[in-house]
Amino acid sequence: MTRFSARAGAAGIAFGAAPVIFLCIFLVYPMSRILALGAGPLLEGGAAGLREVAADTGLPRLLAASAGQAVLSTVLTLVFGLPIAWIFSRFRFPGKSVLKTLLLIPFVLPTVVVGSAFVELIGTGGILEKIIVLLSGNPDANGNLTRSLGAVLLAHAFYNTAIVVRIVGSAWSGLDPRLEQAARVLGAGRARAFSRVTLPLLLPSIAASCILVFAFCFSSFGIVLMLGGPRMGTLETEIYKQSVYMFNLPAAAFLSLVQLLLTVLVMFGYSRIQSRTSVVQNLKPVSATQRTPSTPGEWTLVILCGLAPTAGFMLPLAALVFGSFQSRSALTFAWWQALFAGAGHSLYWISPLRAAVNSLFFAVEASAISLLLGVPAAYLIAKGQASRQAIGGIGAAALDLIFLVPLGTSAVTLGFGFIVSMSGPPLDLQGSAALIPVAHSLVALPLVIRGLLPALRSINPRMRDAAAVLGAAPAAIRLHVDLPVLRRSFLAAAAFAFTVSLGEFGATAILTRPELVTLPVLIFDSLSRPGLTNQGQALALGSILMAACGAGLALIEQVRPRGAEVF
Amino acid sequence: MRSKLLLTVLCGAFAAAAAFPVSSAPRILRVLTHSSFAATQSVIAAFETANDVKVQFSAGGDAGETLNKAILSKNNPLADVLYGVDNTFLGRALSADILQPYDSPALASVLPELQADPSHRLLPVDFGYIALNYDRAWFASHGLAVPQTLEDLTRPLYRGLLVVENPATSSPGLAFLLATIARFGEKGARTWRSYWTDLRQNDALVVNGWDDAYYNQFSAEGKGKRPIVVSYATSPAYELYNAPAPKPAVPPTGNILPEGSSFRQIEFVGILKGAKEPDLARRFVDFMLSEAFQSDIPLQMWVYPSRKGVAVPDIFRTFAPVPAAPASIDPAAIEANRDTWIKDWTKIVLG
Repeated sequence: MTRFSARAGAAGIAFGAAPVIFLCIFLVYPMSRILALGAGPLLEGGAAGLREVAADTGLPRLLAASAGQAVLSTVLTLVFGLPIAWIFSRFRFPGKSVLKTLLLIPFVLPTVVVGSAFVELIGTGGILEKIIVLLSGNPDANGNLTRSLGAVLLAHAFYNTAIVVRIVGSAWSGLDPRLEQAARVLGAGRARAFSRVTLPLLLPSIAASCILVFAFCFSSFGIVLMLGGPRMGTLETEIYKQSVYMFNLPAAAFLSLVQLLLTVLVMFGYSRIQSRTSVVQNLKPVSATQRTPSTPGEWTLVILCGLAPTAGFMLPLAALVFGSFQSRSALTFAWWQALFAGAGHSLYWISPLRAAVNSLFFAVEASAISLLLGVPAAYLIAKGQASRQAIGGIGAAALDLIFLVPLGTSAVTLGFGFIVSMSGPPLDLQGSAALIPVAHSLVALPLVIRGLLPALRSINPRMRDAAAVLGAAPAAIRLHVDLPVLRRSFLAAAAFAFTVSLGEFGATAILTRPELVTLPVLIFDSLSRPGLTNQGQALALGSILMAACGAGLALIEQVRPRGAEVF
Repeated sequence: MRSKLLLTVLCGAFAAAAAFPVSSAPRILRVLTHSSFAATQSVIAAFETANDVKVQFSAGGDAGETLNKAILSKNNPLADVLYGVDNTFLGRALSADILQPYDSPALASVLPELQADPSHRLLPVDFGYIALNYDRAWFASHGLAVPQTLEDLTRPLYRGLLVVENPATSSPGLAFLLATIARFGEKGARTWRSYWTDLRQNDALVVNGWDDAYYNQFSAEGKGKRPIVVSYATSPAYELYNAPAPKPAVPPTGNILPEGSSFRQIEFVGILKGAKEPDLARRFVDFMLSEAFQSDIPLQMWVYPSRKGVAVPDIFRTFAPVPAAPASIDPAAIEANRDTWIKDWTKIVLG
């Protein structure tokens, strides 16, 4: 018996160590190499030097701007996301799975594409402006909403609503509706029953999605540059300016560290809340929690809270497709023709079909890697937190934090870190095809773990105990007790990993070779070349990327095991 | 058990990826370029056949980003040849000491005024001009004369017509700032600082990138409202060349090229220190300066070839003339002051 548990313990450690080693090689090592380059000169200056760098880069202003827009973006994302999550998790209606897939598509789009889509929609000469001109009859009417904080917030909400819908939705759909019904029977009003029963039970998943959204927005970069206008600066845009244009590595390293520390601090606070608010519950299958809307009132609610916002989210996507058929306000198929005719003799041209295949291939690999690493990591964290020993709790808290670090890492800095550390001994991975899905899963891991944790924590230990008492081996308990509960979150996590990989641009652009080019890299390449044709081609490629994402997600929904309905 | 197997496979995969770098063809020449590099495939293929080599291009982002990547990978170069350093970044490239000198015999045929690096570590391949473009149809329909000088742009007559790029995030933006610095200087009644104060008061619009300025804000592209934009002197020719049939006789846009106000951007090639294929790299540099590659440059990258006597297409001669007296600033002065200038500009225009 002791021998068995020792072996199980060793396997557990090896299993848990794999994701940590992975993170050390591909995140901690490159980050420390690039930060060390900047930190040397930084430390020579001492405290006075640090103060000077802080003053020079306008640190207080940057901090306020980064945090302020991230908080507002998170609030806006919740405002959009929670009603949709509610409708999706409590009601059955035709076309729901299509809507859910559509909602996840923004997540896959590279920032350059989302930026372009918003410009097509609410920029100068965009669709909104055309409508205003049409309605007011004034040809000089201004319908531009870009170069403003509002545009950035909208784009962030557009990006991240899927996180709230998926994470909160999967918790909500497993929540026993009888709990709220009981409260109603006992005399609580609708609002009171919700705020005292449902909301507290949802809090861990709401917090989990908030923290992810906050972290994404806090280090957002492309959207701020494209839609925020030249006066808006965040930590990450300043890191970009300092490292790319001024090549001021000390300042860039300083700002990257500030960003990283702040993210970790926020995460830490969040873990404290999370472990306090987690409640063990008996999750119910969807068949028991969902119903078809029965009264006209309920149908109205479904349309108002679920369908209308979803349709709103489709506007930028539609604008993108619309833009790919527009040339100077006239209908054209030229961009699509040019795309498939192939700029023929151009050097970097690769067929969009080939790029799409590359993208899908990497996305499948990245999903596999991040699930293989994410599931054991999430298990270890949940197990440690549940254990009563201090060491387990501390270990779990540390692991929990480590796996959130990728979210706070400056993408620009990490990109340069890869250049410094992966192109020479001890790691020469330059141009290696394996590195691309590895980098993608690095980005996907925090999402996968965050998506799995709330479900894992909610598994009732008594169910496991009961199974064990009845003679089930540990493996059988995982299969028959844990897995059915986890399925929904597992599929949500797979979908996230898949979309993250499809849309990833930064790391791929650094690691890629011409024959490994993915759709986002091809889009960026088109956008960085002059000419309406290239701009139009980029929009057409963006449309293809959306289609590839939709197809991939539909496939994930298809291969799900019988009975594992995602909310 | 299954989990252990998976772990082993995973570790094996990483080890394999780490141990075996790219499986290589006999000889590969690695060329790092900025993302706007373009060339005709057959022209490159001719070099490959003649030298029995495969040229592997990789794009490193914009000019500044590409150079930074080359500097950061100094100890283990990402490539043998680096193309795309321009004269605004020349000083940074030279002081980072990442390039080896190559006194190419082809330099004898290259325009001497472009040879900004006497140590021959960076050899000029092409050059172009940052210029103001205007929308012909807009000025015609508004019955307004096209501004002729930089000073004109501060007149109330032209209020709210100009869109420029942020020099902190855009290389044409930086080049235009340098042009105004060359034109107005630091002293006198009108300095470059007071000029930008005036531009700001005259409602010049600043955006972060050339894409946004040209395709979203400039009126000639059908979407924007502003008829004057900071762009390239070859943009009008490009517009005409790419105009759908039936092609108009003149481009929809024109250049404003006041004396001493168009910044000349020169792009260079160099051989990285520690190049794995130094011989091939030298041959490739010779090739980039040769007639065959140089005559391919205009219609691919829309800049002028650096080699003397290379014929440029008619469309260049008619619609993209070389400005008589370009603005120029010594690369060393740019390197020494670039950051201060950008900071000051940010305070004046965006502060």
